[in-house]
Amino acid sequence: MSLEPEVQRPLQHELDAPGRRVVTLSFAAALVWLLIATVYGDIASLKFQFPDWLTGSTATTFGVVRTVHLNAMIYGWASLAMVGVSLWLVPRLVHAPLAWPRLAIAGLVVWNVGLTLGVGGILLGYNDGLEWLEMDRWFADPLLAVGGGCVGLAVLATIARSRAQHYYVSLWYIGAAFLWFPLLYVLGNLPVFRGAEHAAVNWFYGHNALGFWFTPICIGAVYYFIPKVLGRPIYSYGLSLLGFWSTAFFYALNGMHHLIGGPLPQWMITTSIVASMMMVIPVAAVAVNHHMTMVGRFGALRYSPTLRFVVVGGISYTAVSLQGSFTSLTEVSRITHFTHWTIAHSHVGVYAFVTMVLFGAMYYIVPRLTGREWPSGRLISAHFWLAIAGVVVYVIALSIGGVQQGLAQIDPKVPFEASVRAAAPYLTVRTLAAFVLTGAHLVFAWHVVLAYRRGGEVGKVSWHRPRPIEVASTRSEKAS
Amino acid sequence: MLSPSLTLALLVVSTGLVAIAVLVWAFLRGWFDADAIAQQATVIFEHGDLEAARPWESETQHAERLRLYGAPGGEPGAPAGEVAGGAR
Repeated sequence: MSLEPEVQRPLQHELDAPGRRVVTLSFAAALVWLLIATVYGDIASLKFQFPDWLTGSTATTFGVVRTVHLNAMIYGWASLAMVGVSLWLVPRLVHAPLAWPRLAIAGLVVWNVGLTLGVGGILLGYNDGLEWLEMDRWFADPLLAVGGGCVGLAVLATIARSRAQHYYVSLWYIGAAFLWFPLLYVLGNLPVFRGAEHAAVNWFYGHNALGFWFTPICIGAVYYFIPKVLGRPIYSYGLSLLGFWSTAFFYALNGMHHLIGGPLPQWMITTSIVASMMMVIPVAAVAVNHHMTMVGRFGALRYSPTLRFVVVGGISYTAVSLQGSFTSLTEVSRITHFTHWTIAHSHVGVYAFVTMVLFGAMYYIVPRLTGREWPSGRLISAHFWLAIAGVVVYVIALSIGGVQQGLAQIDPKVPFEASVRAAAPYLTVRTLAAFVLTGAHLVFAWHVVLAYRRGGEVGKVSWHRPRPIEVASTRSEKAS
Repeated sequence: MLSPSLTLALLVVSTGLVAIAVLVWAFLRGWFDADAIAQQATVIFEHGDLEAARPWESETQHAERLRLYGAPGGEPGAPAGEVAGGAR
């Protein structure tokens, strides 16, 4: 192995400067949407305990509230945070400053306008009736497509201006995501499909949004941050390439496992089940790589908030992927389909994997934007433990409740009401877990505000003398 | 109008074909050669990233880092340690 000559590489602060504003805007918008999604998620959960609460208006019914939560979470928090991470990471991966930062800012503004209109439209009853594509396809979706397209052009233009001699695996993942997702988003929203075909296209989009947008950017981030913080290359770079390319080939076939038992040709369902099992290959590649890179260095988790969140996210990726493969089997899906198990599974994916990785990435990036360390190690620890406790309790409660619910549903001797009662206590536990997660988000959002307003130790973050930012911020307030 | 199954089959095949095309292009450019892969793995590291000791590392891990990458504080771009060819 040899390092590229330093003289040909711009300094890190030169790479960061053009994108500093757009990354900050992206993170700020993401945090606002996280809090909005959190409030609506709490309301949706509480409605299971108090079904007569807030029923005076259409906008506060469960069907609307839950949909707002979903869209604010995936297109607001997760997507915007991923955009921020990508806009920061790509220049560092290609050793060239961000291209067209003003276009990226314009794209962010248009995206947020579109998302606001879309979510507002849902509250007013404008709903396309498609899972993960509920926002109105005429006045909201085009703005998201245009806004996302502008950001994507800036990312791809930056890649085109690469000064790096080689492409790192994270760049493969992120670049591919910005090519895959626009195609998927436009396709999923085309008003040309009907009936069973529409359901099939809906889940072609829904599952591929997870596999070709959220997953690649977050996996790309994990492949960057783990070796970067540890100061050692990834365990097997060849294995990382196997993981990327097998994902590229197998993931697109997975979507129909959401429609097992539905009115689709059996070969489509079977293909999706086989593809879901084939996903064990890239998932295993990623899991082995991340684990073996960390082996012998798990002590770093006591010092580094980035690693703490990113490693939890990486483990959750393995868990949710294997869970997904397992759930796609017909005999398992027979019990878990149309139950709270699916909600638990989706939260392992979008929260325990995607959100935790994004938290970790922001813990690394924000000090390099502000030039200051995080003000409080205690707030970092509080955020981490609240998030972990909340998501673990959430997932376990809903998984058990979902199985209980499913077993009651498939028993013809058991009335439907019994399946509802079977899940009820677990839904109460879920609500408590949701409140814990709310606390985690409030802590994090407040800490980000503090970091920008007053920050910790002031000083230029020096790229050639890696400062123990994470060590210093937690050493005096011992992380536990 | 195409049948739903044919529509989806075409969509999946087209995305797969694009992926195959990119894979072949990358292969022909030599991006999967052993030397290229070894260098790709270190693209993310700046000068000092690999040399700097981490506070969570054991004495053995410190020694291994010193052996592989040399002492921290050297000139940017200067080879050091076994990995960059400085040690014998």
